[in-house]
Amino acid sequence: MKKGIWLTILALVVTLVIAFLLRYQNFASVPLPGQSTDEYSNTWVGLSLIRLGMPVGISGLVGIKNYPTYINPDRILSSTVPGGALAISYPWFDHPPMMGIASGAFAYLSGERNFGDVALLTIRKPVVVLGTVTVGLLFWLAALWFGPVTALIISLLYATSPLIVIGSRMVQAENGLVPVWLLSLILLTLTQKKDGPNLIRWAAFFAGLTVLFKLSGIVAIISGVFIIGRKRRSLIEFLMISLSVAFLFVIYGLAIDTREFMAVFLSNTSRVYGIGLDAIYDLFTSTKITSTKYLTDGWPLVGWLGMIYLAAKKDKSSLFVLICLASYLAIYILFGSASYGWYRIPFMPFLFIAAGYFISEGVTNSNYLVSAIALLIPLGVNLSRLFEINKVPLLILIMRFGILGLMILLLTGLVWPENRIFRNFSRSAVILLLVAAVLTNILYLQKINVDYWYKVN
Amino acid sequence: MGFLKKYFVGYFIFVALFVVFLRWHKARVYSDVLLTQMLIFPSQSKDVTEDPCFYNIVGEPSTPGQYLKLSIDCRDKRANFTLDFRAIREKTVGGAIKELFRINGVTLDPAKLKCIMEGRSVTLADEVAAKNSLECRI
Repeated sequence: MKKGIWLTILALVVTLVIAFLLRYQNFASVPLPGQSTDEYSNTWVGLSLIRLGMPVGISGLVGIKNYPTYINPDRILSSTVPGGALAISYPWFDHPPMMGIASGAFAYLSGERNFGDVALLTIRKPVVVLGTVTVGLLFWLAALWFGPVTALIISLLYATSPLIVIGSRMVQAENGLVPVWLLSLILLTLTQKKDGPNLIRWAAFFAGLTVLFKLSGIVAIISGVFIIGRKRRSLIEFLMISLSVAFLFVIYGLAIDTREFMAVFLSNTSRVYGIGLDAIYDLFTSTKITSTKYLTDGWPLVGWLGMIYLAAKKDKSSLFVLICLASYLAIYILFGSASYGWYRIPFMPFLFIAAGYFISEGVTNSNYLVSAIALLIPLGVNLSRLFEINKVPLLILIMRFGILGLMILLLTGLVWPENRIFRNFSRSAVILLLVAAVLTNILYLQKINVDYWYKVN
Repeated sequence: MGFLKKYFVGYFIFVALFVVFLRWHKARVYSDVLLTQMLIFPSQSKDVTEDPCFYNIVGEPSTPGQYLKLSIDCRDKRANFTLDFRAIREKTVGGAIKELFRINGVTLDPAKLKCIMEGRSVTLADEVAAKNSLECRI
């Protein structure tokens, strides 16, 4: 038992180290500076709150006064930001300020004082660390829901998925919202296991805190309500505390500039519905990173398939995953202002839990066939990207006949379940595919440098 | 419910202090001068150049009728810029050139440029209007 715990801890530490190294590599150059000016704007909000006592940032809201200004950090106006002046607005209340405070404070402590000084080389560093912490929190939550082996698979996939790695380098509020939401869910799950009123209160505090990162963080409160269920007393405490913490955004806005805060609030309610009526189809079939860049990654699709698999299960943990995914889907569709890749980030931990669970069923519970087919999706995507130019004939041969052989093996195991040899071979095949998929994740990430990024579309 | 009572007493005290702090901090540190400095101060880490044609500004502002065309002849090469007219603080030839130099980190003295606008020669103090085309050479 003790040996098992130590092995799990060791595997988790290795996963976290891999997660950090992959996120850190090329962190300041991929995605390119300026591909999302929100990264700068978030930091400017924090920096201006510290230095001016008033948030200043880029606003795209209709009817809000803005001051066109040329600001050229990392020389973005010469590369990725065509069209010139940025629509600077103050006081800026488009979103809650928590991510801005975090990145602005880091920029300030690093000696950056003016907007032009802000460099991605500085401000992405804490986000990379936050991304690594998210992997650890995801392991914790998944271990509580599905046990340590499944949690290890989930965290390894989340640590190495190219889409997640690159997305978690960006100074976007969603990258702050996710770990806080996970923390709230961990505390809520712990209260299910042992009755502790303080745990519910802390869970409520963190659920409220997610709203201070972005209004879509309300999902943490909604999912919390469904997870608590019909325990009236806990529900009242959870709602009162979380909503009161979330309400701090309103107090902050009213305290700084009541009139402007109300104007922004009204403008926000009439935002353009930019994600379109085909938003769900688009969500299932495409993997976006920024507003224009797509990075094909098979793992989210496996996650959606895993969600269907989980929906058929009747246990509590599967229900929790469904609650989180469905709650965020509702928020995503409700808000739906634009089809930016980072709006999808809060889906990812739960899609990866679903994907990891789906796959681990093949390793631990003899559902080899579905796991193998699921693994072939990201593995195939990674291999096609790795051998984009040099299509190795031998690899194609292995792929064609390997999959044929694999299917025969797995189907034989399925119709002859009592045969131990077929069972062991099938399990080994799934483990081998999993290792290959993770390895190709890492190899694909090695390929994604600035030059390659220009070719990604 | 005893906990919630205590919680909200603490919460309202916190909110009161929070509001006081936000207002006090803004009143103490905010100034238009500092805001302008933060917005337009050139980065300390940015590479600077004497060559006004070295860096470009990509694309065109999507502001119909609110632009200023500026081209600079740097002997061996030529650079063309379209600036958002609303973002030029000082609406003069010198103001437009200074704004361009600030954006691109150009240290050249604008007085070293000779400019013509709409076919006539102009000085740095001459006013510019939206949709004007300014052609300068070193």
